[in-house]
Amino acid sequence: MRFKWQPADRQATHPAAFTLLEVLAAVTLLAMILVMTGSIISSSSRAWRQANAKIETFQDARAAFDVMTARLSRATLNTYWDYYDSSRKPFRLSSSPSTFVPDQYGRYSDLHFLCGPASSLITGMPPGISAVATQAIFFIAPTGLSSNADYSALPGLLSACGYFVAFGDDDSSKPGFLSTPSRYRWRLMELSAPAEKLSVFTSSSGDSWATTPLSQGQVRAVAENVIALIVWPRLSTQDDAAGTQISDDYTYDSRTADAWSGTPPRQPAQAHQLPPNLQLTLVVIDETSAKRLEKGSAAPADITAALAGLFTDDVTRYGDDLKKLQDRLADKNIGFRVFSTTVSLRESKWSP
Amino acid sequence: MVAMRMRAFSLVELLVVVAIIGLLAVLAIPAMNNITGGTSMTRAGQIVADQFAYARQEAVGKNREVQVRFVWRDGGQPGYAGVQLWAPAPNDVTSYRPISRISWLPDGTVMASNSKMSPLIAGASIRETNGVFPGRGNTKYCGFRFRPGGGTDLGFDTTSNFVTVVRDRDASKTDVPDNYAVIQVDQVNGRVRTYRP
Amino acid sequence: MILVLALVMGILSRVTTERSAAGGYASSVGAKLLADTAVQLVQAQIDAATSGGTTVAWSSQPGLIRTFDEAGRPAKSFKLYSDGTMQVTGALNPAMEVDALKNWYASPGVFTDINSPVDANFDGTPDMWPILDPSAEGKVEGFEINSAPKGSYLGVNNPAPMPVRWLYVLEDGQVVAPDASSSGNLATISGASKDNPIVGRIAFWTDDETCKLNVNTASEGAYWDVPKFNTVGDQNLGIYQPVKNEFQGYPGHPAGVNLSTVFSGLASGGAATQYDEYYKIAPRIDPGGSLNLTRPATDALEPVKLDQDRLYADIDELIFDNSRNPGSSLKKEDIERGKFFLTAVSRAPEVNLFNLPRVVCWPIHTDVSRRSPFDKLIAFCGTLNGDPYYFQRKDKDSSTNDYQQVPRNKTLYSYLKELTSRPVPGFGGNLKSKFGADHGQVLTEIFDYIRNTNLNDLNFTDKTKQFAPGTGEAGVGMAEVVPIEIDDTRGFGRYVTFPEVAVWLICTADPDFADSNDPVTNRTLVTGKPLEKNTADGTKELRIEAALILDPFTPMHGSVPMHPDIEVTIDGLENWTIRGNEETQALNLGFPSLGRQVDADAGVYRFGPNSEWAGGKVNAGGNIGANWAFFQRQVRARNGGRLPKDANFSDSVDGSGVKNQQYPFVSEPVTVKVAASNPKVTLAGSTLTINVKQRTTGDTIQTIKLNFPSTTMPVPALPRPTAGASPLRAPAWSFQGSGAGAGYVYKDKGRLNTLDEKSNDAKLQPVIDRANDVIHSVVASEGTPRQTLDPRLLAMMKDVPSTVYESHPKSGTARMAHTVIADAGSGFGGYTTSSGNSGTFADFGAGKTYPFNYQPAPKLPFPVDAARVSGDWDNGIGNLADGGFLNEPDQGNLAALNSPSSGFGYAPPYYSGHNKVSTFSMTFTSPARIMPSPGMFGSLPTGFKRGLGWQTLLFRRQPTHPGYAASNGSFINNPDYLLMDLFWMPVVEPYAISEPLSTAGKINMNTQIIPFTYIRRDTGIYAALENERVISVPTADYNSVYKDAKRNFTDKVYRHPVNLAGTLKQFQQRFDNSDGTGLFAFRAAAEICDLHIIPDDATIDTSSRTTIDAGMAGYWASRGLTGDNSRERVYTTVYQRLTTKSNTYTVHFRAQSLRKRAGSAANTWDEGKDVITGDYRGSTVLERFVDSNNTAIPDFASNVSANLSLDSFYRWRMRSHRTFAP
Repeated sequence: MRFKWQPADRQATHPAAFTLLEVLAAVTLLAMILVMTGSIISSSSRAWRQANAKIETFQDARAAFDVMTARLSRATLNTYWDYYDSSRKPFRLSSSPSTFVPDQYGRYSDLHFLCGPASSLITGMPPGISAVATQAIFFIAPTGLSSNADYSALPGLLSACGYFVAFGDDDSSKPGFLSTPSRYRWRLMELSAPAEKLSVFTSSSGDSWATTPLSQGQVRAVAENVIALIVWPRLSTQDDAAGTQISDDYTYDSRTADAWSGTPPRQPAQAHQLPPNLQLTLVVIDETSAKRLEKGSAAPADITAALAGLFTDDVTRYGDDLKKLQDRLADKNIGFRVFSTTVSLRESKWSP
Repeated sequence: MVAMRMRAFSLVELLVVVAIIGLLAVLAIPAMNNITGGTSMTRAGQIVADQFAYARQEAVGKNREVQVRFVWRDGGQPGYAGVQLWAPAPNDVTSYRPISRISWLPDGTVMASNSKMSPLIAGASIRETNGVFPGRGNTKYCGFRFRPGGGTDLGFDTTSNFVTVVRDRDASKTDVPDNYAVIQVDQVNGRVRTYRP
Repeated sequence: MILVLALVMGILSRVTTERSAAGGYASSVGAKLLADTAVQLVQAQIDAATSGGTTVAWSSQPGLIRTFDEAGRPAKSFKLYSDGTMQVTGALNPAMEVDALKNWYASPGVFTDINSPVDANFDGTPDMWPILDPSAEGKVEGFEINSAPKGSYLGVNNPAPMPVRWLYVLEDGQVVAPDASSSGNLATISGASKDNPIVGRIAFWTDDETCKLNVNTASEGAYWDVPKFNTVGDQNLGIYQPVKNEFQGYPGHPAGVNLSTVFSGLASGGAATQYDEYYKIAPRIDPGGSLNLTRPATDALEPVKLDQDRLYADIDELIFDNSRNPGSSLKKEDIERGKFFLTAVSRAPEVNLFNLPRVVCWPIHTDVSRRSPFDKLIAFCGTLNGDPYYFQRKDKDSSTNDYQQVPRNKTLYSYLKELTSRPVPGFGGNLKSKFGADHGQVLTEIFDYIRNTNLNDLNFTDKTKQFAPGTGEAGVGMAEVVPIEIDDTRGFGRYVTFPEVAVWLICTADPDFADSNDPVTNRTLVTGKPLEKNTADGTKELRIEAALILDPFTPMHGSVPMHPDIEVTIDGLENWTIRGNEETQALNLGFPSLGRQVDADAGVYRFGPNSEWAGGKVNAGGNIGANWAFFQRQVRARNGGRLPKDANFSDSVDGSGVKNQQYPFVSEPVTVKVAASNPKVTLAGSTLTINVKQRTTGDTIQTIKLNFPSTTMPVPALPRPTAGASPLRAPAWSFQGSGAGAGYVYKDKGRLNTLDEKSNDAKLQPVIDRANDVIHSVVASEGTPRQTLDPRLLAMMKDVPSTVYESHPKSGTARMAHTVIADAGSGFGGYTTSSGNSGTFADFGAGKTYPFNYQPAPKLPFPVDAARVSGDWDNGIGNLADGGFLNEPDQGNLAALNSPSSGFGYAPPYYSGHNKVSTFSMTFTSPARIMPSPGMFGSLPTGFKRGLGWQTLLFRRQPTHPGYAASNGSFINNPDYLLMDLFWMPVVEPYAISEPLSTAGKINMNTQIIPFTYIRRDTGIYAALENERVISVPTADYNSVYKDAKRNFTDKVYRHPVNLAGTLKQFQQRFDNSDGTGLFAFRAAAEICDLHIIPDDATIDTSSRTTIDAGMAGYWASRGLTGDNSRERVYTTVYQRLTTKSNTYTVHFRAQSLRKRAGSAANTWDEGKDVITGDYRGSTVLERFVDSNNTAIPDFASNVSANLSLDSFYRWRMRSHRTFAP
C-alpha cells in the first residue's frame, strides 16, 4: 500500500515525500534535541535541587540562629543583693535560715547562667546523641513554655533553656510508626524544658536544673548540619578589645565556685551576674556535604578532625581558630557557612 | 532534471519511526517524572507542609492565632482531603474567617484520619466537628492552632504531632503502606518536617 | 516543551509559596524592629525628662514625666505614650488629654486600643487583655473605671480601652503622627510619598512600675508602734511585739504593703494565722514569731525564720512555689487579673530633688570591724564610686572627733548646707532662709541624731563593738554620747542636763521635841548645846540641814537603756547662807567648796559603775528622776566629826575603785532662830557653776550657771515617829546615817539613804517627808512672762547662762516649791503632794491641771503656750510623762519579768520605768525597726539659735503654728519636710531591698494614669496606707484616762485606721488641680506631709482642700493631747513606702508593618483598604540604673555642680520582655 501526497492544485512539480533517510535524520535530530534538552533540564533541576538543599540548610540555620539570639537576649538572672555568712555561703544556700548568721552582703541570684565546653557541661547525653562539640550554653529565660494548660499563657514563666551542637540520630523525635533509616547528623540542639519542671530553685548550687532535663531528652533539634557553636562572653569591643576581661577561655558560670578575693573580699566578677554581651558563632555545613560525609552512627571523621583542638580554652585565638576551621573544611571540599553576631543580654547590669 | 518519483513511507519505515519515538518516550517520561518530583504523594506532602509553614508565619507575623483546618473529603470514604487556614478577622478579633482557599490534596491522596497514622488529627484541639466553609457549605472538619508566638496548641509529645498522607486506597488501613508522606509539627517552635519512605 | 513548561511552573509555584512565607517572616521581623523603635522613643523621652541636672526636679506617673523648675513652677511634660505632641511646655492638663480620646474608636486609622483584648479560647468573647483585665474592677481595692470612652473596635467593646495614637513610620525611618485632619479610616501622613512610603506604624503607652505592688517586697502588714498611752490597745502593742525578722510588723517596712488589696480572697482563719497565705506568697516573709502580733514578746519567743524562697523574676512565677509546685491559693486568672497592679521589678530612685544622692540616715562606724552586716549593706547602699554618702561615727566620748577627724562627715555636712542653701527644684525658695540662724544648727542636730541612733546594737555578740556599750560588767557609760559640736552649733548627744535644781531643807532638831534635842543622842547638834526656845520672845532655834537636789533630764526619751558615766562639780556652794526670821546675821550653810569636792574630803559626785541600774533596771531617758541622782548616796563626816562619814562613803559599787557613792552637796547642820508662830528662813544663794563632765575623759560637757535668789520660805519641821508604831522607828532626822536619835531602830540610816519609815523597806533612795521638809527650786525658763524653757534647748547649750534659771513660781509660799521628779515611773510620788504645775501642754481648758494622773508631770513649772498651740512636744513612751523630747529611735523593750507563763503580771514592756533590753536571740536591733525613715527627725528643735523653743521640724500638715508663716493655709515655700527629701533609710532586710541610689517596692504617689484618667488605680496607696494608724488623743481624756502611772488601761482607741477614700481625695485635688497649685502631680514623696492623713473617726467634708483643712483643724483642735511624735508617726512610716519617681517603666506597644495598596495615595493610610502585613504586641520593662562602681562618677558631696551630673550616668537595661501572643 502506498501513500501519495496530492496537492490540491499541483501534482508533479513537487517533491513527492521525505525519504526514509530524511525522516530518520529528522527524528534523530529531534531525539537528540530532546535528549539534550532533557539533560539540560535534568542537570539544571539537579542543580536547583542542590542549591535548594543548600539554601534550606542555611535558611534553617539562619532561622534557628535568629530564634537563639532572641531567646538569649532575654536570658535572666534576676540578680539581687543578699547576705552571706562568714564562710561565704549565701542565705539561700544555708541549711537552716534560723542558724544563718549574716556576715557580709553579696550579689545573689536564684537563677543560673552557664556556658563553656559542651563536653564538660553535658555529662549525661540526651537519648540518641553520641557526641557533642564546641561550646554549650545554658540559661534561664521567660519562655512561658509549659505542658500544662493551667500555666500556659503566662508568658513570664521561667524555664530552662540551652543550646549546643550534637551528633546523633533523629529517632527520638521521629513520628512513631516510621521505619525510615535513622538520620545521623550534626545538629543545633535546644534545651527547652517546661516551666513547671524548672528545678533551679530547689538546689542552689550546681547545674542539675540543666543537665537533668538534658539527659531526659528535653531537647529538640532546631537546625541540622550545625557543627560548631562558639559562645564568647565579653564586654563590648570598645571596652574590651581583646575580649578577655570577662572570660579568657569561653567559660562563664554565674555560680562560680571561685573564692572571694581582695580586701575587703569581693565576689568573683562572674558570680551572679549576666555578661553584657555574647559573641555567638555558628558554623553550618551544607546538606550535600553532610550527606556525602554520612557514615551511619559514627560521627564523620572529617568534621571531627576539622574541629580538633579549636575553640578550646583561649579566646584570643578565636580568629585563628575560625580561620583554621574554614581552611580545613575547604580542604575537604565541604560547603559551609559561618553565622556570627553579638547578642547583648539586655537584663545585664554588669559591674566588674 | 528528471522528475524523481518519490515513494511513500513503507509501513516498516513508519513502524521504525514510531518505535523510535516510543522508545524515546519510554525513556524520557520516567525521567520527567523524577525531574518534576511531581508524584501526587510528594505534592500532597508538600501542600500540607506548606500550609503548616504558612499558618505559622501568619500567626507570628500578624500576631494572631491561626487555625489549621483539615477538611473532610467528599463522599463516604474516610480521610481529610483539604487544608484551610482560619484566623480572626482583621476587624473583629472574635470572629474567625478563612485566610486562604482550601488547598486540596492531589487526586488519589488523602490524609489518614486514624490515630496511628495521624495522631495529630486524632488528638487535635478542634475535634471532628461540622462547620460552614465559604463556598462549600456545611462540612466536617477538625484542626489545631498555631499560636502567635509560633508554637501550637498541640500536646507536648513531639513524636505524636504528625499527619500522614496516604493513597486513597490506604485511607482506612492502619498498617503502614509502602507510599506515604508524614508531616510533623514541633509543638513548641512550629517547625515542620516531612518524611517520605 | 509543554513538559518543560510544566516543570518550570512547578518550580516557580513552590518558589511563590516560599516567598509568601518568607514575606511573612520579614513582616514580623519588621514589626518587631518597629516595636524596638517604640521602646527607644520612650527611653529617649525619659532621658530627656530626667537629665535636667541639679536645677530641674521631675516626677513620674503612668504615661508621663513632669519637670519643675527652681521657682517651683511646672517646666515641661514628657509624654510616654504615642501622641502627636510628645512634649508639652508647662503642665500637661490631663483633662484635655482624655478629652481628645472621646471618639477614638471611630478613627481606627488614627487611634488604636493598646489594651485591645483577644479571644484566646475561641469562644467568641474576649478573654485576654495585654495590660488590664477589666474584671479586676470590684475585686481589686482602689481600682475603678469611670466613664471610659467605650466603642466597638476590632469587633470588641472593651470596657477598659486604652486608646493611643498611631505613629506612622516611613521608609526612611521618620516617625510621623497623622495630620489633624485625619479621621475615620483615613490617616494623612505628611512626608509619605512614593519614594518614601509608609512602612509601618507604632503605638505605645508606658506604665510606671512604682504604681504597682512589688511582689518581692510586699506582704501583709500588722500594725505596730511603740506604746504611748494607757489603753488596752497600746498595752497590747507592748505585749505583742514583732520579733526579729517579723518585718510585716516593722513600722515603715515595705512588707507592710498589703497584698490583700490585690488578692483579697486569701485571708482566712483566726487572727494568728489569718494572713499566712500572703506570707506564703511573699518570698522572704514567713509567719511565726509573734504570730501576727498575738503572742507576748518575751525572751522565750522564737524569732521568725526567714523564708528561703526565691525572689520572683516575673509575677507569673507566683503560680509556683519554691519547689515548683503550683501555689495552692493563686490561679492563673488571679495572676492575669493582678498584672496591672503587681510587679516584680519596681525601683524608685533615691535621689533628692536636686537629682543628687541622698544621705543615709543611719550611723556607720568608721571602724569596719564595728559594722554589723546590716551596717555594711547600708554603707554599700550609700556609696557611690567609693564615696560614702553616710555619716560616720567613731568616738562617743568626744564632742569634736566625729566631725573634725572624719573629713567625709565635714564634706557631707557642707553638702547638706549647700543643698539647703540652694533653691529647691520643684518648690522654690531654700531651707536656709527659712531656718535663718538655725541653718547649721538644724543640720548639726540631724547629724547628732543619726550619730545617736542604734547605740547598743545587739547584732554584736561582742558588746564592745557597739557604739556606746559602756564599760565593765555594769556597763557604765552605756548609751552615753557626748554632744557633737560643729562650728558654733551643738547637738545634744545622749547626755544629762538639769532643768531644775532645788535646795532641800530638813529639820534635824526642834526644842519642842525633847527626844530630838539631846546633844548626846542627836549628833547633828553641837556637843553639849541643845537648842533653845524662848517662849517670851516667841522665838526658837531649829537645827537645819540642806542638800542640793539635781533633777536630771535627757531629751532622748526612749527605751534604750542609759547609764551615764558623769561627774558633777558645783562651784559657789560654799557661800550659801541661811537666816532665820528672828536673826540678823545670816549663817553660812557650810556646803563644800569646789576645792573640797575631792574623794578625801566632801567626796565627788560621780555616776560610776552601779550594777543595780544596769542589771535590767535602766532608765529610758526623759525626766529620769532625782532618785536616780541620789541612788545609794553617802555623806561625808560633818558637824565637826560628830557625824561620822556614812559607812559606804568611800566605796564603789562594784569595787572598781572609782568612788561613786559620795554625795558632796550636803550642808553642815546649822541652827537658825525663827519666830515660833511664823517660822521663816531666808536662803541666800550665790551664783553656782555646775560642771557636768565626762568622767573618764574629764571633758566638760556642760557648764550651768545659776542663781538662787534670796528667798524667804517656810521652815522645815521635824518629822515624828508614827504614833503607836512598834518598834518605834527613827524618822531619820539627818541626811547622815548616824543622825537619828537614840532609842530608835535603824538609826544608822540617813535621809539620803534610809529605810522607809512606814514600810520598813530598805530604800536606796532619798526619803522626802512631804509634810515637814521644804524644797525650793530654780527652773530653766525663758521670756517675760516666764515660760518653761524647752528642755531640748537646754540640752544643746554648752554654757547655760544664769539668766535661764528662775525661782519656781510657788517659791516663798509653798513648802514644796518645786517640780522635781522622783523617778520616771512614779513622778512626784515621793517628793510632793501638791501640784507644781501651772502650765499645760494641751489646751484643755482653764483651771485644769495637766492630766497625767498621780504626778503633775511633765515638768511644767511655768506655762508653755507655744507648745500648747503647736503640739511640738512628744508623748512619752508607755505610761511615762509627755515632754520636750527628741523622738528617740526605738530599740525594743521586753517585760522586766522574764516569765513567759505568767505573762506580764509585773508590767507590760514599755510600761515599766525600768526597761529590759532584749537579748541577742530575738534581738529587736533591726535598722528597719529602729529607723523607719528620716521622718524620725520630726522632734528636732528648729529655733535654738533664735531662742524659739517648742518648735521642731514640722513633718505634717498643720494650719497654724507660732513659728511658721501661714501662706494660703499651706506651706508651699520651704516646708520643713523638704529636709526629709535629702535623706533616706536603705531597706536592707530581709535582703537588699535597697541598692545604691534606689529602693525596690516604693509606691508612687502620682497614681493618675495619663491619658486614661478614667481608669483609677490607687491600689498601691491603699496597700501602703491600709496598715497605718493615725494617732489622736482627745483633749477630753486628760483626766487620768490617756496616761496613768498606776497602769490602768482603758478601752479608749487612739490609733485610728486611715479613711483611705477621704485621704485620696487630696490626691485627686492635686491631679485635677482643684487645689489650685497648678502642679497636677506630687513632686516629692515628702509632700505626703503636706496632706492630711485622715483618720476614720474624723467627719470631714472632703470636697475641697479648704474644707479638708478646716475639718482637720477642728479635729485636731479637740485632740490636744496628741504629741508631735504621735502626729508625725504616720507620716514617718508612710514616707518610707512612697516615692514620686520611678526607675522602672513598662512600655506596652503595638507595632504593625504596613503596605500601601498599589496605586493608592502614598500619603494617606486607608484602614479599610491598605494592608497590615505584620503585627506585634507586647511589653518591655525598662530599668534605669547607675553602676555605682563607675569610676567616672564625681564626688557630688564635695562638688554639687560637678560637670557630669548624676543623670549622665544612668544606663538602661531590660528587665523583661513579653510578647502579647496568647
